Amino acid sequence: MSVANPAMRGLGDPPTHEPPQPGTSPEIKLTRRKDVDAARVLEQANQPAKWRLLVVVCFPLFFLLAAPYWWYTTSIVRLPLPNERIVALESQRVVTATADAGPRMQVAIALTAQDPPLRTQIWFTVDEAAFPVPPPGKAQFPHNAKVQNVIKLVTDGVDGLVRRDAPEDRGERRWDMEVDAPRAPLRAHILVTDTATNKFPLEPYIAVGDSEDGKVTRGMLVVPVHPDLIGDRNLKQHYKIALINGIHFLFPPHLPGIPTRALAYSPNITLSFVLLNEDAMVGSYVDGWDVEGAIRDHFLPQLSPLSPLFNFSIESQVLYHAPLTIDPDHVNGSWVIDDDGMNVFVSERWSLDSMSSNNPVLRFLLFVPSQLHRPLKLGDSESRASSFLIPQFGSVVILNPPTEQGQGHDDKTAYTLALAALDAPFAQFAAHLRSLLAIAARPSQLHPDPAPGRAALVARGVADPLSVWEMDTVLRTRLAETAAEARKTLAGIVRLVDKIKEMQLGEDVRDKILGAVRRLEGLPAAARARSPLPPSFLLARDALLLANEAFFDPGMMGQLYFPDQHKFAVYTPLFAPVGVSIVVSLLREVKRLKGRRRKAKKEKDQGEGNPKGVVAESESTATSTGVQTRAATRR
Amino acid sequence: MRLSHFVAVLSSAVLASAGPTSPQDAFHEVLTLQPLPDGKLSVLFEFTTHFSLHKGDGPSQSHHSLTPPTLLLPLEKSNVSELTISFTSGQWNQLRHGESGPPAYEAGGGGGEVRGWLEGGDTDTAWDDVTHAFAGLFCATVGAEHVGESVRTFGDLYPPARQGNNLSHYLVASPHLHLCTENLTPFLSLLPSKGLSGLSALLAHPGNVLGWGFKTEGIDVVMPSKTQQGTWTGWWGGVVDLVPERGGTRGFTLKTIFGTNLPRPFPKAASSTLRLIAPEGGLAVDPAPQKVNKRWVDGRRREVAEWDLFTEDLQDKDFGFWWHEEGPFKHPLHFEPPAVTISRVAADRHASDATFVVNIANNADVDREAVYSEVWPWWVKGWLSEMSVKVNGAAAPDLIHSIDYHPSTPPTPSTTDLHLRLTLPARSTVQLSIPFTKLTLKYDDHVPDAERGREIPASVLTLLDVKGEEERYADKALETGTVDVQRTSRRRVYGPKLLLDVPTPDFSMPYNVIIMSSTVMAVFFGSIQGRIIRRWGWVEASK
Repeated sequence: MSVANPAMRGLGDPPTHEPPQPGTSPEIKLTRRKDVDAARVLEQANQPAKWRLLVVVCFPLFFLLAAPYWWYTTSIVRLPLPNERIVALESQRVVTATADAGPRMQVAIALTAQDPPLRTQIWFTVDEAAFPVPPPGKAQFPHNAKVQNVIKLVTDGVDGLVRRDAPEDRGERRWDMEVDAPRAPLRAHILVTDTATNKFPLEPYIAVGDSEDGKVTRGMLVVPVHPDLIGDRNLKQHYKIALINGIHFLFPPHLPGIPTRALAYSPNITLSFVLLNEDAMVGSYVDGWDVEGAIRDHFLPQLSPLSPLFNFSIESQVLYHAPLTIDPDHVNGSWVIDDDGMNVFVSERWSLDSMSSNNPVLRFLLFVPSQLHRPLKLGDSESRASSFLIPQFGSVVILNPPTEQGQGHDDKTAYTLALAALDAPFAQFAAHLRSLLAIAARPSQLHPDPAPGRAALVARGVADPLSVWEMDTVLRTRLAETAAEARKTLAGIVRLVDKIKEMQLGEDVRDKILGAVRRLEGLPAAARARSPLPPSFLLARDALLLANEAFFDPGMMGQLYFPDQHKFAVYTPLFAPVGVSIVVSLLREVKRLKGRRRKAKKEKDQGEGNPKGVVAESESTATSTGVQTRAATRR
Repeated sequence: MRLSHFVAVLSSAVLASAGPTSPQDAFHEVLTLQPLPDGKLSVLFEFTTHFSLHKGDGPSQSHHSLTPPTLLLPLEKSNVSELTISFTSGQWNQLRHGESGPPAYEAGGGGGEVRGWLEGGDTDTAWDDVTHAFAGLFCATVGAEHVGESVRTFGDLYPPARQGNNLSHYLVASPHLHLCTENLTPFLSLLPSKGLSGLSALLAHPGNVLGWGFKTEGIDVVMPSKTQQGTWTGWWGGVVDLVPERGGTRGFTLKTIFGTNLPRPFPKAASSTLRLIAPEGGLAVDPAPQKVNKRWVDGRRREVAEWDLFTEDLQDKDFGFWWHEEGPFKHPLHFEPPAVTISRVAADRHASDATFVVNIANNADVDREAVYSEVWPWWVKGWLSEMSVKVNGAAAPDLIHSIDYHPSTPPTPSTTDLHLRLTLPARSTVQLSIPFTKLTLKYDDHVPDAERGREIPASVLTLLDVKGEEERYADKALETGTVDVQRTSRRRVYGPKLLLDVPTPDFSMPYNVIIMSSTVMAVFFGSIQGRIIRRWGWVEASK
């Protein structure tokens, strides 16, 4: 072939571009020449293998180097939680009273399942004159021995009552009477006094205030006995009955749980008293009320003892228009609201909410029906009930003003409710408050305090203030409730964090959880203290507050709406095509490397003797379409 | 219930007071009607309660009868001494209505405005709490998002009614708010009559009331001090068209405006009054008013007719008002301008520059002393060095006595406040021109629908020489129609709020960039990589 062939390029010349001749296809005609050395051509045309390998490796290397930075900028803070400690707290349930074991619960705080349940101490004293003087000649027992005898009688009596239940349903006696325990939180006393009734049975009561002679202190359970009764044959039995009546019903063997109608525990509660006139424009209406006096007499004695537990704030208002959204039926001359009506009695349009804080609110509504709906009755036309309770909300008392004949829409009388008129509704409200706060009513076996100053109040229906005896039960119930809630919340947090992998857990949330766990773990130690209920309750309450704060922390929600599926949906269209190319080219390089190694090995094996000199060279051109050429062999 | 438990107090009952010294709470309601020269009617409901706080003895008690706890408890908690919230929707046309502003003098400029005086030390958090509480009550975000966006320099222009110690003034204007049923319903629930009796029952028809062209609603609370009772006033005002669309007479009755007869009065109201401010040329009314007085109303002596709605024979009656011997209403071609009018436009608009041109017309015969104030968001940068003042075309820089300028401090959230103390010469128009530039907002700072633009609050002209409307002995001789522009209680005249369009970027660009780069990478990466690492091979052409 002549060199002058313009289609043939010299080996050493740089490639020149010649425009294609018209009529010919623009391809380079390569004709075989003996001296065309394919290998040398290829060597010059291709870049060195090492370079190619380096370039191919650069791409994945870049991704590898950038990956930690990407991981660092897209990862979320997830600090580890004390999962084992939280699970260990669950077993605390076995030894601590719980609120969610149904209507019967284990009774007291125990340290472990083997320890006896914790008992509140009662210091029991008896007046000297309360025991009959033995006739001369009979043995004289010291006073303390006689008191101890009474204690044993009472304790055995109560234990017998408790044992009457089947073993799996059995409650516990959670108190102990001691002869000499001046620092005990509760006190009981048998008092000889002329003012007591001179007939059996004896009438135990809880003293509201201190007496002048110092024998009776506030909160003491007093069994008054008249001097004439001392000589009775069955005196000791009567003492036993009176004491059991007092103590056993104040401390029932099964601790009451928190019913669903009561509010869950919250340290701040607002009490709202509302006087509602259905329609002040039509007929007579109520214009004002002495709510401050009624609260002072009926409510403050019940609220002040609760100050370790709850912080109350009180507000009141008078509404002049509160139209009913239900139609009461007119039956027998009175208007009746049936059960369905009571469910929807409180209307949204009354705008009772004052929105001044986020505290839970208990509302006590005194409803005065309008002239058109008087008298308004609940249930049926003959019922005498005048109030109903709305669970977790409050209660309603219906107050029908007097209707005289001949007065109708023209009667513009405006009534003012003085303290005497408010006694009955507020006594009902006070009872409803106890029910809504899960405080048991004073048992009927206990009588009101007969102190002279209280006679007027008792006549008005004002209940005795909340006593330390009832506070004991309330503290136990709330302690059980808050501890159980705190445990439940912590377990919930663990489950939530486990389930949602994208949820972040920052340091402050982790600290709150640790604080809650630490406090719950401190409960058994606090139970050993002398007066264990208040500090245990504080621990449990703080644990609940911390657990709730951690659960509802807004920081935990940060990454929640960017799940992994979205992340991959954004990355995939970008990286998948790129990735395919990189992976394929990598694979080809690896294959070629392996092939060369095999060839080199073969050459080494065969040394110089191979006549054929088969050189297997696998070649490939890597194009985006992946077209492979067949391996060309060269002879 | 035994009869003896009730203590009956016969008619016009009065709430038993807590102690002999504290005066009782009293609730007054007034409806004021004022026909305007252009065939419209200005309506204003005012509900005023004078109250004291009843705290009871013992821990944290609060007792209310005529006052709503929803209003007072947040104010007590945050140590607020005074608070005013107003919503205004629509524009008051100063020339055609003949007055410088609506009859509710405390109403703010366009949109929502909340301002107040707070006592004590840490007032920033207290202000935040108060605005959030009332935002919840009125279903409108009246507060500022950041506390730096509250304006602090308006204390002199809104002097406190109660002197307290350590008072701080806050003002937040939200010009983008409108007035709707969600604002009316909580307003009615604050009143003791709850929209069911008395004058509030006229207001309780949202379909009717919210169809008015101009509406304003607001509350103004002054908390009690140790010696004085507190007052809270709620107002609702509007402008009603009297002339039907196809033409007709202007005569109207209460039923045609409100759709219902006059309801029975609220029994606990101490007074319930209907008031009519008679226009020039008089008006015929039925039934006849019980009292007709001459009063100063906004700088002009007018006749005011009053009816006491507790009167027995006015119950359930419809009140009729008509113009003597006037047939179909002819719209006047000339209007007598009010004492002061303001107009404000953004002129010479370029992409991010414009000029505020404010025309303040003093139509009276006396010079007025005034302070002109503007509040701009941080992205409006006014060039005060280029500000020019002209009177009737001629430059008059001496009119401005002092400038109180507080520029904003981006990037912290803040506003620019400008107060110009100036004199308005008689019978002339002062023109202020302030060029400004709109700064670039960050991508994230744009609100949804950014191309709509953003409103800036209304400007306010505070008149310093007003003397109030109280009657004096010398006034008895004055006839109706006498004009004395300083005998008014209207201290402030508001200019309009403006809608400025903010230069917006192409919001789709990030999306475009991501899509484009992903596509380029996906399509071309393979071929580029191929070209880099292509290996040429020897191809045997088959013979």
